[in-house]
Amino acid sequence: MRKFTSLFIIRCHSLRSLLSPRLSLSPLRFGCSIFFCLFISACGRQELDTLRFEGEQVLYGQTSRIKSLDPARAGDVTSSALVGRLYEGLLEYSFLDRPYRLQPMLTAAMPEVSEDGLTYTFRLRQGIYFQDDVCFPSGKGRELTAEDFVYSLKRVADLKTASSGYWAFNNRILGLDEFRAASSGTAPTDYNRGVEGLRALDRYTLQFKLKGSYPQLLWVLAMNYAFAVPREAVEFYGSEFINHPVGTGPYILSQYKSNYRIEFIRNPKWAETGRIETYPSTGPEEARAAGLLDDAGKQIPFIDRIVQYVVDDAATTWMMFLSGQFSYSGISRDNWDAVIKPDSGLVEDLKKQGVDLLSSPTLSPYYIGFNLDDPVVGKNKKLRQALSCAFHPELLVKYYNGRVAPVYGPLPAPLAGFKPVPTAYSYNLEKAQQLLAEAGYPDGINPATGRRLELNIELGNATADMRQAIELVASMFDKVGVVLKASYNNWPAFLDKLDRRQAQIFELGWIADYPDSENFLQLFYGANVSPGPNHANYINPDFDKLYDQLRTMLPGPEKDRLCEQMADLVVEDCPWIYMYQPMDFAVIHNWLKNYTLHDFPYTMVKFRRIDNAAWNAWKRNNGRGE
Amino acid sequence: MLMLRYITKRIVQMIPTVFGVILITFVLFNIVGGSPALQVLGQHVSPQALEEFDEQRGFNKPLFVGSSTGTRAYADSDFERTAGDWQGAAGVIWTNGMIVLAAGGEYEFPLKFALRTDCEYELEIEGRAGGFPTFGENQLKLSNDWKKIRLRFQTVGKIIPGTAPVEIRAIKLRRVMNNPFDSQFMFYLNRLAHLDFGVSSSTNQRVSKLLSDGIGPSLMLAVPIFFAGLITAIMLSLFCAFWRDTWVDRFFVVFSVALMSVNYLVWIVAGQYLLAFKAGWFPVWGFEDPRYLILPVLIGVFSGLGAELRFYRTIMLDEAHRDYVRTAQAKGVSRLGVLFKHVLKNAMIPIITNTVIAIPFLYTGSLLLESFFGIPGLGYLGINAINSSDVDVVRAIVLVGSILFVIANLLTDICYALVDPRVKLK
Repeated sequence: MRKFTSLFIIRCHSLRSLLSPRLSLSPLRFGCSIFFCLFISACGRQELDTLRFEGEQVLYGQTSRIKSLDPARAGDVTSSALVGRLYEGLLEYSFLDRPYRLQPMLTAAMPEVSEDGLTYTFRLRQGIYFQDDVCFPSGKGRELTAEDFVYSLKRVADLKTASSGYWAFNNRILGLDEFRAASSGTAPTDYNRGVEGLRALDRYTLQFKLKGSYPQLLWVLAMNYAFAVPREAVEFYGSEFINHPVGTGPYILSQYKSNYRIEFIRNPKWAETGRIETYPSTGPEEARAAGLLDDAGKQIPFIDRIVQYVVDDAATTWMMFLSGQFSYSGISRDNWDAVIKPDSGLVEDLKKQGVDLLSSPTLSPYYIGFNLDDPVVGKNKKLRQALSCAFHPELLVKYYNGRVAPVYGPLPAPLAGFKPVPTAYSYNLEKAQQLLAEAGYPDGINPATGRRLELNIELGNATADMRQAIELVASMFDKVGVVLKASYNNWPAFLDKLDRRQAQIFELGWIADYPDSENFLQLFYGANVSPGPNHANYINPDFDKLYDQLRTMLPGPEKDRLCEQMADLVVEDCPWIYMYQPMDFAVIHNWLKNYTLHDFPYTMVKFRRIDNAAWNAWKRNNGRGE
Repeated sequence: MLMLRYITKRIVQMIPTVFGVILITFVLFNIVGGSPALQVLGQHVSPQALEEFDEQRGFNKPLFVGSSTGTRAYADSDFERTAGDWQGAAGVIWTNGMIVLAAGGEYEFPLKFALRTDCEYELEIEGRAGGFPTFGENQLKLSNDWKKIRLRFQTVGKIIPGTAPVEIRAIKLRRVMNNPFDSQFMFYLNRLAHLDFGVSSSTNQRVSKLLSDGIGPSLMLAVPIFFAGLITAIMLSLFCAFWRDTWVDRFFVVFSVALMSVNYLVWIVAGQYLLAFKAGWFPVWGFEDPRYLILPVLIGVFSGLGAELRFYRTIMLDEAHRDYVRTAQAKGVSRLGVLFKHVLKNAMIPIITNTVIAIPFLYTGSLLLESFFGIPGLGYLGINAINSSDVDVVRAIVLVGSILFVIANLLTDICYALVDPRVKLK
């Protein structure tokens, strides 16, 4: 499930409060002095206070546990969002435009693409500097050059980096796979080894040469794997590079305590080198109506400091939001009824406080996968079709209070190949019973044992939410006589079962890497079977042939037709039951501006603004003032 | 001198205990932990990348000792269930729990990636054949009866059944280890010898850094709870002993039973919701300054008070009935004097035992308090590590905890000798 980025505030206190009578009166002076020493060394709040200045805009927020601050190794939503503040790439998603569109970030313009679609030439902006850091010879950040991108992408290919992002370049760029193969073994990787398809033609010109047409390359270059990392920092910090990010982005890391708190401040290098970025001045009408263009043309970033705390518990997060210590929160299922009225939206109390409700569909559908290697469900297409017909997505939508939308095919809206209406294998109890009989299990009875057919679903967590949802699915299967047994695992054990192809049925979601049908259709490609992303181990030569065509196809009606055709193949074979496509819901307080939901929001914190006057007014009105 | 010898002896005795802990944690977490490679490399992963990851970190070695180890290039066949890697291989028929390679054909061995060239591999086949099948340059010595054969090779070749079909029930592929003692356990011991606890697979941080970051917050929460709880409980127990069998005593007995019967979690959730969120007296969550510790410490003291009060009251009353107490009373020592000078002093032995043994547990902090109030201590780290099968972190926490525990045991014994002249160290 997408991790909501929620924001909250912790009120500031000086060291004075260390001397509160309650603590200093403790009779154990020795214990006490240790206690104080630990505190002062652990918090370091004095240092922090010197960074503050008058009228500062601070964003306080929630985050989940942080896996990595290294762009090459940030594969999860949380890490990507943090990396997107520190580092930048060649291209970025447009903040306001829908459907999603790319625009230059560190390049002067969109790339020049050769006629055969195999050569991409990027011209970098001049005067972009890395932040100051001791890893540079003089301690001063140097200018970004095309070589930095060459190095960064080689680093993703290096087996020793253990990057989760190589799939995006695998078998695409001339010479990069050979570079990767050469990085195997114990000897240090030779970064001077040239890669034919990845070259800096001069200081500011970067050229990609591809093995075959790869229209998704531009989307991929907007992902954090392709962000520029300075070689000096990687070599200087070694394995500690993950705690010492050195980037060109709008923010730099100021404090990081793993498992608790992370703090960013505005990158001073931007002002020092005169780098000016501005808020977009054009956008669709809806954005203008929502006030998202009020800051058009103003210099970004607005916020001076971002403080985020690692809070895993949804109830805690919600309490912090309500008490105004949050600026933003997601809405958990348990709170739903207390927050949203089915007819009028947000409850009165929150409306009165100026809280705003945002919602948007996400490109992250959830599904129940059949393992086609399994002797029972794998070899029996009719059985899969029967279960597919027994599955009633509308009940699940009701269970989630309408926070999810039903899907009837492998692709989420609005991608090409999306099925807006039920298909031949969508909910239909009679057909389910009939197919089940044809599959050899009349009324769900397994003739071999004389008992009801029992299937086992593997799940990656055991939250109450998951348990209830699976009980609901089991009750749907029960209507046709099939017993669904749930087996709960922790995430790593679940991954292991998928990898070994031991799961009979499993529940999983897919968060889009980029908004292209190809990113979803690859989940059915024969070469991607477990441990790759095709965990259903679906192999269909006809589908694979079409996918091979799709891989290199440019956007257009012909590609859309192909996606339709492939979606039809998948729907017929039923390797998945399509569960739902979640809506992203967020509540924000009225002092947080320029907030809009986006499927790829990782670099967008620079557009947010905090209205301190509104914040202070809220505190006065709600008795939370200092 | 005697003391020094005693301590040395006890320290030597600790070594097998700690080694036992290392062994048990190693075995346990190897059984339950998932593959770190799968967690780190994400969903778009290839078998070769997984193998390389394991190779770099020693995860593809045998567990303890072994002449061979598995490879991700070929998954052990399970022809009863599925054709596995052989499905899709041209001309191969999967039937009745075996695969059949028809006569006259040539069959590529379906590997997920090319094998390494710097070591040998071992192929184990259970099958039968009528002809003289070959595998690369090697003969497959199969006959008309089912049998299991093993063969070593360096480069993989095609399987050529020859004049009659080959039927195979099971295939295993193993990488031959040049040194059978080159194992994961040795790798782990070697790392420990260098005081290297490894890297957390869920946060990519060095475990030693996580431990040193977490110990401070843990102690800051646990130490005040420990001392405040201890002092309150002893004071109240003396109180009970002083007024034993009066309504005061009975009130505290009922009070402590009531405290004990309410779940720890109730105190936490109720305290956080009512006192912090609703009343706004304390911060809801966080670890910014000492104010943030007040509520968790109060809850920690309060929830532990019941059991401790009952325990210490029993000890005090036990002592209060002794002959020497009666003697002291008879010779005219005041009630308070008896209580503090005689009873409390003699009750020290059980109190010390209880206290010193509890000290090592301070270091893991309070798991629930830490996770509810967002205190970044070792308890919080530990529970997260368990949830995400972060084997290196859990192993390190358990190991450090067990070492602290044996040390605390030793300290208890030494303390006995100091407070009680009857105890002799041998």
